[in-house]
Amino acid sequence: MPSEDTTLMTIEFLRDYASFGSRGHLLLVQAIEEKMRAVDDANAKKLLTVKIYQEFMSALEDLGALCIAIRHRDEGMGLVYNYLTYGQKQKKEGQFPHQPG
Amino acid sequence: MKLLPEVSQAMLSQLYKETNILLVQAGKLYLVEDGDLVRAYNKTKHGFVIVSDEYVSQFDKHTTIHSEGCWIVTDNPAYNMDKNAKHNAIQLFLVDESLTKPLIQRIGEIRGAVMTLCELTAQLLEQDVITTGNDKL
Repeated sequence: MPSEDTTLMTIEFLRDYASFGSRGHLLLVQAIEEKMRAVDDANAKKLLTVKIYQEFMSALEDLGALCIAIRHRDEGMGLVYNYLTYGQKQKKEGQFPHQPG
Repeated sequence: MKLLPEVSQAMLSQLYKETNILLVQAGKLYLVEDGDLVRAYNKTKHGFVIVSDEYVSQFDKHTTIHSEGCWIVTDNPAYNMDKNAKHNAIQLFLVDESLTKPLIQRIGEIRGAVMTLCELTAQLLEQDVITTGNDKL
């Protein structure tokens, strides 16, 4: 059974992440979008578009990792630890995130 | 959910709708073309290079120049979307605002789903409806 401190820490983490950390992807693509409007160089636009696509994939990955962490919150290390180590665990097992098949 | 009527009324219907849309989107990314698009993305994350010319690594360079696309060079034919292609390059997509606009909108919606999920979980923890594991932190 998790302690009260652990539960409070988890609640605080979730609310902090919802209001602050989860904003990162959107903020970045909005900045990239502004930059794309400002540049005429076709190659620069290509690279910036790839960055938008990467942020989209990364945002989906974050959502998936959060769902997995919540689903397996009672197994072993807990919700926050599971979420923070999502990518690292996959790499240790020899499989990159989002690599089906 | 009976313990949290305000959550189930105000948030869940929207969350359910959004989650379904996002799951379809995630499913497409995984399943379309045997997941090659997702594999291609992983290549960019782990040290592979994006190039503007599909035939940049070919000795017998094709004469057509694709100026609108971005490409990833790879040495593994398994990652190629076009199974019959002789060259090992993957087209990501065209650079077009009609494609980037919806992507940016989806990122906003994904953030909304993350925020809702965090708040819902926090409220369920606060009311002891669910528990969290013994976090190592």
